[in-house]
Amino acid sequence: MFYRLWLGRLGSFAQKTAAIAAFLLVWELLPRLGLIDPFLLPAFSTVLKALWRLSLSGEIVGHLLSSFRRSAAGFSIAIGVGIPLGVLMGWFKRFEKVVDPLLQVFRNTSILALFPVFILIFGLGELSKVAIIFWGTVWPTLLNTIAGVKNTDPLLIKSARSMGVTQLTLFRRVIVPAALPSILTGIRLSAANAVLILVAAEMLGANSGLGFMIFYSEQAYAIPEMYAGIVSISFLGCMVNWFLVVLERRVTGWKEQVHGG
Amino acid sequence: MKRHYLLVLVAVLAAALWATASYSSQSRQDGQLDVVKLPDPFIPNTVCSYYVADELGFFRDEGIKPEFVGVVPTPQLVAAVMAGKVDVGGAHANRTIAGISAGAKIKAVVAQTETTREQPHMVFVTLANSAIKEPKDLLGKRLAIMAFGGCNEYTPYEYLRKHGIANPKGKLSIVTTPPGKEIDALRRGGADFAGVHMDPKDVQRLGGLRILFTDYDIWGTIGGATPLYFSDKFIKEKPDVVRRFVKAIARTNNWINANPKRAEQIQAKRVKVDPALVNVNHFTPNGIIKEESVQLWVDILNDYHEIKPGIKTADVYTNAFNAQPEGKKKAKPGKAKLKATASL
Repeated sequence: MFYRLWLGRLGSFAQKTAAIAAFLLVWELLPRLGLIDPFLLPAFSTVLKALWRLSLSGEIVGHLLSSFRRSAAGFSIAIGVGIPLGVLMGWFKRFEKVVDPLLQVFRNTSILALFPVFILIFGLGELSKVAIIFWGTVWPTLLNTIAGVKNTDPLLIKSARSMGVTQLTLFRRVIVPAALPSILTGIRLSAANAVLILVAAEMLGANSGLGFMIFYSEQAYAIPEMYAGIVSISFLGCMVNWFLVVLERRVTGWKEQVHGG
Repeated sequence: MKRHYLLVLVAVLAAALWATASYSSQSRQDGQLDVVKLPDPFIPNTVCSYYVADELGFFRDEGIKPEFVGVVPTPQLVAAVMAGKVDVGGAHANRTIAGISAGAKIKAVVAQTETTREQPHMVFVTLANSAIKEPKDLLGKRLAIMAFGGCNEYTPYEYLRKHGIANPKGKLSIVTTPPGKEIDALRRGGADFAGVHMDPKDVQRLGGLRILFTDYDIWGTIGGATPLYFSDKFIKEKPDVVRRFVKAIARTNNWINANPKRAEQIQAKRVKVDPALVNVNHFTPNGIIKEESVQLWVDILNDYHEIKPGIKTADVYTNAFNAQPEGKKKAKPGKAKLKATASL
């Protein structure tokens, strides 16, 4: 019986990894069989070797830390601004009505189109990169927070009010917890955006970071290193997402337990 | 019913794959003319010999029809040629050498620009009131260039080396900017000096700038070679087209050198800008690639460990497709036809 459980787990693991394994197999075979010139697409094993070399030399760690620092900075400012602003906008209808149209314009303008503006205002240093990441990541958090606050069950608010709570307590005990699942979804989307925009932000004026490494390798025709950078960014994005999913489940799960109890 | 769906799907996929494969690699003929896919120039304000040759009918005279496929950013030219998206690539010789070292199977066949005192390949400028006076003042300063590597980075390093500063790499702080924005960065205080691919006259016209040095000051005329290359595959399959293309370009080089103002006008008309904003380089006469211009960059890239050791200039370029220089009789047309049918 134990054996069957173990086999079941293995089968499920196989199912989960089958698609990725197939993809990697195709990646390995296409250049090896000459179907694609290995100059344009090195085999996956070649890319792994380059990645290994970069890790051993510590080179990639430096880039990873650089990238992580930038996206963490932009991202923290984004949620630091997005959540309070979202709560205010979700609660005070008039405030929202005034501010929303402008925010919609900002939000719908592609970040890449705004690059020259950021460079003009912030120059080419770290500040402009953090600013670009902030701009690209604040929107999911902000909008999801607004939605979360707006969708708070009116019954909860009415019953809290009937108990005579202060506005502040209402916020702390009813509205923010109720909006939390939405907020956490917004945070997760923002984090995904942060990794995406990071690459674009590091195209200009950078001399470290994973995005920089990709473009530098491209220019130096170090194609396996370029793909190694791409794989690293993909890995970073997946790790961040997985971490936040786990966090979301924990925080929301706890909340549900309280309700049940 | 289900079986039919599957068959249709497979047929559609097969057709799509076949179409894309044949589109990119099939030799194309437009009537009597051989089609050669060319990239539009990345920097529109500099005279592009493709446009001049096309406008003057030099391609047509050689039985070639140029097909412009759009702008290809310089770092992607080698890959684009390898993938068959364009047939001809250009850019500075050091990019071609680096590409070949990395495994790209390409070969340069005809020369384009070369450096002269009046028209160097790269100009390094600072603000007119800057404190930088001597080469050693550059140490530790910020340099704005449009990319790492290549002529952008190694020209200042070699300048420093020639002035007695050993191991210059790492002694400058490099700031990359979008192409064309190097001087902006300089003016806004983001850098202390900038490297641009511009005519010194245009730099003076911008005002407020002082030229520190150009690549002519370092290597004379041999540092600015930008030969054109084809993929080895194209050369093997269509050597006659390559030969005729080289002939058309060699003719264009000589024409541009003899008629720089008219070349500027042709370029201005093509890209729809004011002719006063267009500048023209000096082109290598007859398109003959000079050995020193290639060997120089092989040595430099080797010094900075950017390429695999053992690359020889013979791996990089050949002048074998260059016909007799202008003035002599044209190749006998009968012979050319025989050659063409023999290679089919």
